Amino acid sequence: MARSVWKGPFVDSYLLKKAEVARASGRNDVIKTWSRRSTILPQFVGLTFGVYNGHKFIPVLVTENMVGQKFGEFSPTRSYFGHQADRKARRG
Amino acid sequence: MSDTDQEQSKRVCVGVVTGAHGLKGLVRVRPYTDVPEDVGAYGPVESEDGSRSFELEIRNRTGKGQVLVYIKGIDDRTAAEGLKSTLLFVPRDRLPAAEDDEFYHADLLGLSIVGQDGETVGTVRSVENFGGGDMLEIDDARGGVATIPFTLAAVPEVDIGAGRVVVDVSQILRAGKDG
Repeated sequence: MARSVWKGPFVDSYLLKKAEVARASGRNDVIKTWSRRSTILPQFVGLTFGVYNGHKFIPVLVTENMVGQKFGEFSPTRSYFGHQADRKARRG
Repeated sequence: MSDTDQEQSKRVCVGVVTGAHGLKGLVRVRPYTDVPEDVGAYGPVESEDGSRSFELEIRNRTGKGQVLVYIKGIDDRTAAEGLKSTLLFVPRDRLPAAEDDEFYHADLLGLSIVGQDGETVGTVRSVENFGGGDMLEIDDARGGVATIPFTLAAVPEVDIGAGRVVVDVSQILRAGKDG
């Protein structure tokens, strides 16, 4: 069942504070978080979060199209060792 | 590392033969390339030990992301079945040149990672992207696994020729609150 709209999106309050501090500092440090359940808000766009998956922190650079999703969606908890034949990584 | 090992490491595995299809010698190949049909796009492929070379002709895509392939000289099912589990390799230099600030995963794997002050951090274990941008997974010299976003700010220099990646150590994510 979907969350009631009147409640607004759920975000852990400590994460909001961390994001505000990071944005105010102007540095692009990675914000470590264990809060996989928090919703990605518009004010997080452009920040990089390290989302814990129970083993390590997965860096997540928040973009506009992630708004409304949860942080945990970008930090899988199961290992998958795929093949890398001709795959390329772009330095953003 | 022997010369043979170095030659082997300059190849990339583009797929594996999973079985025969039909009676006319077609084989099913599970491609490891981004686009499944590209398994035959880089010229003839070799077996793992380099003793055999195959010219692939892509015929069709099957379900489960596999492709049906005709291999020149393989004209019956018995010969096709004999190739089951054969890994298919191409030399790394056959892959097209990457664009600026783009790097093949195959080139990045195993590079040593150093800080801007020259301190050794570890080696590149894997390159991943789970939807939040590319990242490097590091075999940490302190032990365990660490990660770092693959951005210009965090990874200012990638020198594949010298076999090293220079990173901003403050951006490395290690497990634990202090990391």
